[in-house]
Amino acid sequence: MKPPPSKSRQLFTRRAGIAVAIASAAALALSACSGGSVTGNAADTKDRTTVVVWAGTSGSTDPLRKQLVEDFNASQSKYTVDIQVQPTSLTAQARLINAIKNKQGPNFVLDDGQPQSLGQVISTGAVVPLDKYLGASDSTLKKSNFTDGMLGTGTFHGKVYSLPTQGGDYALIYNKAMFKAAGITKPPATWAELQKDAAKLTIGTQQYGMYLPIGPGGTAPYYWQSMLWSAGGEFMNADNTKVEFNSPEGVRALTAWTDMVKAGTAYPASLQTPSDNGSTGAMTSKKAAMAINGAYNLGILDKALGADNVGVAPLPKIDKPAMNLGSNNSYILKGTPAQEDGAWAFLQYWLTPKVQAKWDIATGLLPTNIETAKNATWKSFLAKNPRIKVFADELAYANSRPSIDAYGAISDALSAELEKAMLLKQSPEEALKNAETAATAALK
Amino acid sequence: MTHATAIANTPARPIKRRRRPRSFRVRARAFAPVIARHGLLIVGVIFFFGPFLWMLLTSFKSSSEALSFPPTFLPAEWRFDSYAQVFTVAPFGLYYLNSGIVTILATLGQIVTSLAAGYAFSRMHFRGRTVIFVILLAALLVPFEVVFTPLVSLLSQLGWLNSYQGLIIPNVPSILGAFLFRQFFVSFPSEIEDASRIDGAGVWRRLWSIMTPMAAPMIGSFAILSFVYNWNNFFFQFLVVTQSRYYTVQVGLAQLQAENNSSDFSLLMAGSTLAIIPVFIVFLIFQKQIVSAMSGGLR
Amino acid sequence: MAIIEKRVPDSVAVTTGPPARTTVRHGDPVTKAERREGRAGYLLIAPTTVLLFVFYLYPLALTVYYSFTDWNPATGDTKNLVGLANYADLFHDSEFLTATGNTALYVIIVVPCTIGLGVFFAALLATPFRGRGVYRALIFVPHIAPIVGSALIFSYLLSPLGGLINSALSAVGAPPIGFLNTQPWALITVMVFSIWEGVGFSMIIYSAALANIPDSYHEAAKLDGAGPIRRFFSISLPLVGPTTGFLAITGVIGALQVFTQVYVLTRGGPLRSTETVLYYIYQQGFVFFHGGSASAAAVILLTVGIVVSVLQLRVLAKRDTVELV
Repeated sequence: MKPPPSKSRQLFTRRAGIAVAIASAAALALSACSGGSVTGNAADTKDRTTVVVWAGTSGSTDPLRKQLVEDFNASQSKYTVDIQVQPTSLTAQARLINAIKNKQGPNFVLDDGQPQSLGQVISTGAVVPLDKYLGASDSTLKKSNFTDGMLGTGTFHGKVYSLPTQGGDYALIYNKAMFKAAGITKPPATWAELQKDAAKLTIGTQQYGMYLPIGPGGTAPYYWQSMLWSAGGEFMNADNTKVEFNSPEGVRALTAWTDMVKAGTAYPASLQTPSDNGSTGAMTSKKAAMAINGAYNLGILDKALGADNVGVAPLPKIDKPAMNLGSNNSYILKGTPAQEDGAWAFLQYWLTPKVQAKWDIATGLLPTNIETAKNATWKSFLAKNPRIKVFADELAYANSRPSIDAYGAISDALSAELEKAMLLKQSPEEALKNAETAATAALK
Repeated sequence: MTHATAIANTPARPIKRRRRPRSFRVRARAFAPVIARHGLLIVGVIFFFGPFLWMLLTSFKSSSEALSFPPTFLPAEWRFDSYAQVFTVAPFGLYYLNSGIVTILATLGQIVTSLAAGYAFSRMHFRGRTVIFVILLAALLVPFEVVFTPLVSLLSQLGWLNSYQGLIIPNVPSILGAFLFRQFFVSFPSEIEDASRIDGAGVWRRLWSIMTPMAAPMIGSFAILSFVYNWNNFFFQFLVVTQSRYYTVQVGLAQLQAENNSSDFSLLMAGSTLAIIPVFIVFLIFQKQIVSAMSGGLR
Repeated sequence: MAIIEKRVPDSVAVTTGPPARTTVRHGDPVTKAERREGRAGYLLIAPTTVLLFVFYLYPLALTVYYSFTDWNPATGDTKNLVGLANYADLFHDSEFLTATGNTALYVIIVVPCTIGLGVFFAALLATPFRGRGVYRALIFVPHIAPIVGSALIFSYLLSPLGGLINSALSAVGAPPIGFLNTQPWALITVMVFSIWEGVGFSMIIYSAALANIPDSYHEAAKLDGAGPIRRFFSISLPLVGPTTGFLAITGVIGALQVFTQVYVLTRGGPLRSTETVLYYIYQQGFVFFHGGSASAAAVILLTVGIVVSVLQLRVLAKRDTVELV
């Protein structure tokens, strides 16, 4: 019996052929209409050194960033900056390290979102220390351009490896309509007042007074550190060899949060998924009257609640005002001397008050160069946007997180215990004790 | 009982037949299987496809409406600019070209090598066949997230980072494919092949003229699955390629996500929809292949 | 691993008598003709085997080596052999043990459900009828979508802040459910997501296998008066035994390696109830750069996978529904 499957074979190969033909035609057509300049990789032209810059996407402000880069290229004739947008991913740093080790890395990284984890990249030996540049007489950037907190975000083992190019912190955001309905006339200035206000603002389970960052991830430790500092506690000792948050001050700081969950005035579950979007989602869905959030989310909040309805106040203090810095830092990677100098030139340009003002007005982030406070554009922007001024003023006393290799592990350990405490599965004392044990193990 | 005798045994005229029309109940019972089948399938479609319907609708919403609570189903205002934006934010046309090249070639490679290997493991006898097969099976258990560092170093030493061959060749071997084809051939009656072997056909002849056509349904199925896998192989592509000239669609999609995903949800939905469409088309083209059986031509 | 049995090739039984050896490994060549062809066999498996060895088994060997060192993936130094210290630490790490438990539960539930629904829908779509292709395509879509995008949609639809599902619940007066941020819903939701994503794969594979069952079998059964359900259980299901075996093994292997959806949907929370072994490995390897621990956990995962696969192969071979080796 001879099988005659030639018909189906013909059909199959014909179908395959059609598929390939369609695919190729479509791909060619699409590549033609991809529009604009393909971010190919510019080759060195005769006089100009190419400086390859990696940056994550900044969403709707990407075109502005492209424009600023082009302005830099046009303003001088020694360097051409080629900015390559990198995909966001969980393993971005591992990818960077891999690229560096395999000689496929960039010359400059712009706005790295995890600056305190830079230790791993530094240990590859590829990051250029910036002290010599900052101390040079002809540089427009000096150490004095930054607050201690700002410099701290990029200082490892006593040397400055990265500079903060985007500053972020957080404050108390509140729903003015809900405040009015509850008869509260001004936002709370201390945490004790906040707890009282939250009680007034809570309506059963329909509306909670406050949203606290319950859930996995780095947000809870990031917000909680301010509570700790505000209560007079310390996160680590002076030389970053021991954690010190398991202290009476630490317990006070955590109890301030867990008491609210216990009293039913804080939203009792996690909203830390990307689509729930934590504090932002809690307020846009009108489930919470107050929340801690950054300036860059004001746009979303305004759209959902109405710009007149969204109020901003400095984070209430326990004993003294305190704030944590969430900066994005930039750093130079080893290359030829020309490339390194080019990267430094670009970094200086990026941190000039004029550029900072333009960029930060568009993104909702905060300038890191102290000089920018004197820039006329920025000053008038702040005058028109008193809410942003709250965020900017907090920068003056903001601390940085410790810059050590083990920070990721410590933050993760603390995050797990904070979550447990806030879900009322353990007491604040137990939580801090467990976190200390895990953190100490990580530091070994 | 053969067909012939069955006919012979049937009376010329049914003995007692009620003349009145069948009752509704009887008719309903006859249709019940059909209704039940469609009912179950519709439930299935709602469950499986529902979220994508929502994805499609969201891609036409403005970015603030996209993540609003309470959610809206149909867009309040239909906005098409997300789709245009996908192509301006990043050179997605180029990404499609790259994805197309990489996926098609890797899929073809997978089909050819897996068919050959599957046939060899099932129908041919050579020393060590079992041992080799089991070792290769172990390779399935290797999570890529774990071994990628030495793998990337290896690719770097070969100079294959940021290249098409680096994206394609490590994905050509498919033990899953070999396993699949092996299972397929094993459960196949061997008469046809034995017959042609007796007729004097050698290995290559048998493989090309007989086994491959017989395996058409499995080739079709595997082609789809292989295409899907290679098209969606984000993590590998993300690590091997750092120059945007070689980015694929999946890497491009990741480019659309900012640190906090909410910044442009409708853009991401538009990008995801665009990423799914080519695979969907491939599926539609090949799905008939799945059910073309050997006997009786196309079903 | 090999099934050793006495085998006499059909084509030469009578004329040349049984081969000299009475026990033959199943894959080995017996006749001269087979030996000749066997060489071609090596050629046929060469591309797959060589490429797999180079690109997967070699890095795997390195990983096993790293598991005995304190390898730091960033700096790349593996100077210190620490012997079994990484493994010992893992067994004392409550986070790893939790992850292991979660993964086991996940595998036990997800794999049978995915396979079961896969064969169910494949059977519903086995006979041709109008619109069949459309149904099949729509049910397959979850499998072709990038997992990150699908997970984000799921996450939004299930949001406790008033996602679609919770809005529907409150419309009928039921309290909102925290699908992704309460226990035990979080793990259940992750499982449902994986089943949702995987059914398409099973369905396609089963469709090919069901299509291979000759019509005459079904016709004969119909004549005997068997209804569709009876025919499914007596004919279709047994005859796709090899496929079920294949899907079971690959399903378990895939389920052991679940990661992306956990990251997007729950980030391992709440309280680590959805953290899987691969998520743990990711944390150790990429966030803390403890390459040694990550490698050790990976080796443990690999070992478990091998053991489970071998057991499955044994069970399936015994039940004679499949000749796997």
